[in-house]
Amino acid sequence: MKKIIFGVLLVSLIGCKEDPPFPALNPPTPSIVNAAYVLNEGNFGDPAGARLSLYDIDRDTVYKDVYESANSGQHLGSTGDDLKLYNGKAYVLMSGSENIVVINLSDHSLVRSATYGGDAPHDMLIDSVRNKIYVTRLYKNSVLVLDLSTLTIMDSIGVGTNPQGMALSGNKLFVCNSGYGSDRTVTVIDADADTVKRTLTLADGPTSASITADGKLWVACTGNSFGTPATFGKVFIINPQTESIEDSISFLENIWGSITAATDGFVYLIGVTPSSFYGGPVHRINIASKTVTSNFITGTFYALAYHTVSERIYAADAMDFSSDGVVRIYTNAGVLVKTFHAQKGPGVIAFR
Amino acid sequence: MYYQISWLDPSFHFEGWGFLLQTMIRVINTVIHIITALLIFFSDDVYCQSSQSVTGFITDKETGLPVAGALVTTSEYPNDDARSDSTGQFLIYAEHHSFILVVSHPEYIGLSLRFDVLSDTLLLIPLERQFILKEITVTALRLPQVTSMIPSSVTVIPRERIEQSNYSSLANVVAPLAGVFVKDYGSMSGLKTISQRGLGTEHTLILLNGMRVSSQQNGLIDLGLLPSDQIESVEVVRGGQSASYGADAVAGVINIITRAPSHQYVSASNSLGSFGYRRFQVVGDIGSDKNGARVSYGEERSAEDFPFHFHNGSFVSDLSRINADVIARFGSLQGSVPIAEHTHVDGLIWLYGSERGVGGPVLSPFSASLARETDREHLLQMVFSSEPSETFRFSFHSQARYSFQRYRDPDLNIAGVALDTEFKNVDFQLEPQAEFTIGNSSRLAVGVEIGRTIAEGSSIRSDIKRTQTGVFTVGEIAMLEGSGIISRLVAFPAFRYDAIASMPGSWSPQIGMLLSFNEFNTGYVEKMKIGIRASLSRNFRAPTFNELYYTGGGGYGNPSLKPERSISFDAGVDLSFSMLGEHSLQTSYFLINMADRIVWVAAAAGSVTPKNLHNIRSEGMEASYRWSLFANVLSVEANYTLVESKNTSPGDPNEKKQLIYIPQEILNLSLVTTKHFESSIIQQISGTVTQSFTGYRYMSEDNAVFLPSYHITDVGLRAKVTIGEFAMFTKLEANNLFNEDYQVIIGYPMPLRSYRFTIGVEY
Repeated sequence: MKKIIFGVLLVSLIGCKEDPPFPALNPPTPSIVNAAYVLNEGNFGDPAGARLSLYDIDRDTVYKDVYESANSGQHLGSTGDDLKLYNGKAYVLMSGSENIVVINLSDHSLVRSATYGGDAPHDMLIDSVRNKIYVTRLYKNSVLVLDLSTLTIMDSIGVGTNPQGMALSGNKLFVCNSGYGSDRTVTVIDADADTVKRTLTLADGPTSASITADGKLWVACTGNSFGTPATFGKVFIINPQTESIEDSISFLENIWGSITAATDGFVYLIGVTPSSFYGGPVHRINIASKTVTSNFITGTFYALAYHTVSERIYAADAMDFSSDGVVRIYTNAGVLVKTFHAQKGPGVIAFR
Repeated sequence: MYYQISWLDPSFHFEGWGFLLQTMIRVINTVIHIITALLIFFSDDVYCQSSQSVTGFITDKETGLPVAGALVTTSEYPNDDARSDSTGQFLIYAEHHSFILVVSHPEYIGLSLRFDVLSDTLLLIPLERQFILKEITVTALRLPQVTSMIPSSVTVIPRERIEQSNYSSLANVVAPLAGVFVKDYGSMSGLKTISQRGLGTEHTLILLNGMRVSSQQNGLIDLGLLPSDQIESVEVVRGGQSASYGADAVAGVINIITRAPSHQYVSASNSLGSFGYRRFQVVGDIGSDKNGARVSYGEERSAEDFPFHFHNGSFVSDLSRINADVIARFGSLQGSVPIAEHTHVDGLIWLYGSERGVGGPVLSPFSASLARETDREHLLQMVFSSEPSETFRFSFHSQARYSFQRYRDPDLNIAGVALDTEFKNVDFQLEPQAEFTIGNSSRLAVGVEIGRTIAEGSSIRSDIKRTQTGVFTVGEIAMLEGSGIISRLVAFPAFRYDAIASMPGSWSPQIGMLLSFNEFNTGYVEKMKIGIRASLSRNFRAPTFNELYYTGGGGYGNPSLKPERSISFDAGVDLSFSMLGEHSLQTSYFLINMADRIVWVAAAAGSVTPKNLHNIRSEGMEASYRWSLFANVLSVEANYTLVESKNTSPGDPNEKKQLIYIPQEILNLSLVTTKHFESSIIQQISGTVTQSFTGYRYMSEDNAVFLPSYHITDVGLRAKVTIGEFAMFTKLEANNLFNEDYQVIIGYPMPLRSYRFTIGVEY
């Protein structure tokens, strides 16, 4: 009633502009076997910001709002921060709304969801052997242990400050304690007992970790450009068996992270572009020789993934986070072959 | 409102006799009132029925000067009227001893008075000038001037209008004004900041009694922290004013005038409302605004656990707001002492403290922030002013201010430490200013503003001390007067130089022009007045301490930042006329071009830092209209704002996109009715209905997603009754009457319908 009354006044006085129409829901995304899923963070603070995009590799087609279109417009949550595909399902973690949503990959319908209020979940790792999910709690200096089937909390393990990335080797879980550049440690957890075995000291800002084909653990440390003194990024090669540092590679700049062990004999990671928004170029390290190819792919990337089947590198540029980001596909020789638009803040890429 | 009658004058002055004697007299007066009323009620026919003369003097209530031309009639002989002469005197005859006298004047609030006279009687009738926006003097400019003689778009909200506003903070007083958008982070405890003319909060300079109170720490001032009970009036000057006030006056200036002692009284009020809202306040006034004091204390608290809807696509969850409680205490002492003829000293002590939960954005049905914030604001102002002659005035403003804020979030643990930050600012200001009148109608003001701020805190570099000095001159030059249809053509040149520590000096010139025409009548339209104004200025904003020196989690300040620069132009037409009441219309076009806008961007992994990056172009129009009917018993107010505030940075991916959270359109409508009665019981009844429409706001820089527009309706009813020397007032508010489910900022739900009830007594 009030809108009618007010509408008459509006029209008679001025005629204010109508709101733009809300975008209609996309038709449901079909089940696509050879696909790249992109989790987009969304606008910071937007309760409905996290969005899932899908790139059909064979048909060169992009689908957006994959979850919304299959679930009557329901949203994933706020700030999509991690995505894992396992056993026909996608596990999607939102750090803002502090929830995990499990989606059936066949039709993208909701399987299960759980919320961890106050836990600040950030990264997750699926331990299929022990049927668990490990989730780092960014501001709680601990790791949650969840039941993979039910998403219920089984345990919580104290680690270093502001834990982020994790890697699993056998029954050892390695947790990067970033401290936003002020922590220097990796916590080693016994995955059978879910207890801390020891803490390794590396360099400022351990953020991401990956296991190479030869079974070695590679950890990227961001460095701390605002520390006293300022430090640059560093990559450590660790023997998971002995839990000892075997080698390290120093950079003369900071590292963003997203270290990714590929099957082509290289490790890829993202650097930092000075004076840019988040992210940087893709650097490449030869696993055997430890030689670094800086700026292997130039640009300012926020997410990185290696598609083993096609041996192609997927690098996401979040732009300024205020417009839809793009994903660029390169051959492992660094040649750009394809660019597609994802959604706002593409931060994680996973392949089915 | 007290209308004085000579033979029962309750405010008869006994200066020097002491408060006790005055109280006794008031009590005796009250008894006489009651006895007289009883006599009249029971013995109306005992009086003789002979005709008698009634002589009276009509004066301006504020100035005491006689009011000529007032029409006076009686209920007995409505066609047998009289008019007050140049001395304000009138003579009328009454047949009966009991009659109603009706007084009207086009420029004053009319009234009806019931009299019971025993013999020939002399009446003293003070009239209150009508509330007419365009003729209120604005002190927010270096040269005080009435609104119709200012080259910028100006609105003044007087005390009467503030009392008619719902809620209890300054945010709700200024929100319905043209060109203003209040960014409300939901609930009473949520941050409320102002956006003017499509720019940010940090681009509007906030003054308290003419002295800057905008935070140098973060550029913000939370309008929700300023209780409207303490405010006499608010002056909103739109457009760049750096030539007068230096840094931060880019989009405009808001000057808050605190309440001075008005008359001797004591009052207490108590409010109750939805969501656990409680408020009480006590006020005591002694003396007058030129020689008196006013002391007040109040406390306000609310649980703010209001219900709201959380939307996830087509799924809606009904939730209650968590951790949004607030408790605030405030007190003030304001006084004025004459120390010589035409010379007086004014002082203000202002104390404020609050403790509140920071609910944070609601990102899921389970969002539950534990963050808390503590604020303290202590302020001391002293103003010496002297007017030794009609052509010279001197003032010396001084201010000492202490600000404290602590924010803590046990859920946010960075590098092993739960977030717990605080800052303290101690700020001193001195502002000597001299004003000269040159010739008949030109004026000049020259002055200096010296400020020294000392800041410390856990999130900024230690030992920050900033000194800023500004030298300014402001002129008003009458170029043409009384020539043909032109009433006045006035130029307003102004110039200021600011030297701020660690920054390059800033030159801020301004030129304003005002062309006003002689009043004329045409057909049914009478007293038509037209004024055309324009202003062009160069303005700047100084980087805040946070932007320069922040060292807390997640980001770092940039000491190399330059001030933001802008060119501001506005032009407008103001007109007023009489036709079935009084009408006033103010229209403005504005354009602000800003360079070197400071934006926080990523510097390294996980950290952000501010840089001078963006250019902004904000362009739009404002229109305000007021129609006052039946001698101000009923008024209709409407204003409309259209803003296009866009990123104009060349090559930026969001070039030519509207800035986020700047609505393109805002429309406000108000219906205000105020009826004064000269009754022994009911003195005043007023009602206000306000309807506001706020257009959609983009949430992302690429303008791909938006928050929908919303309509809000608020209703307020006030009544004031008197019983002897006591006055009792009540106020009933219904806010968001139609239960609009909306958010001003994404993630911060606004309350659905709520109510407040206030009752108070005055003695």
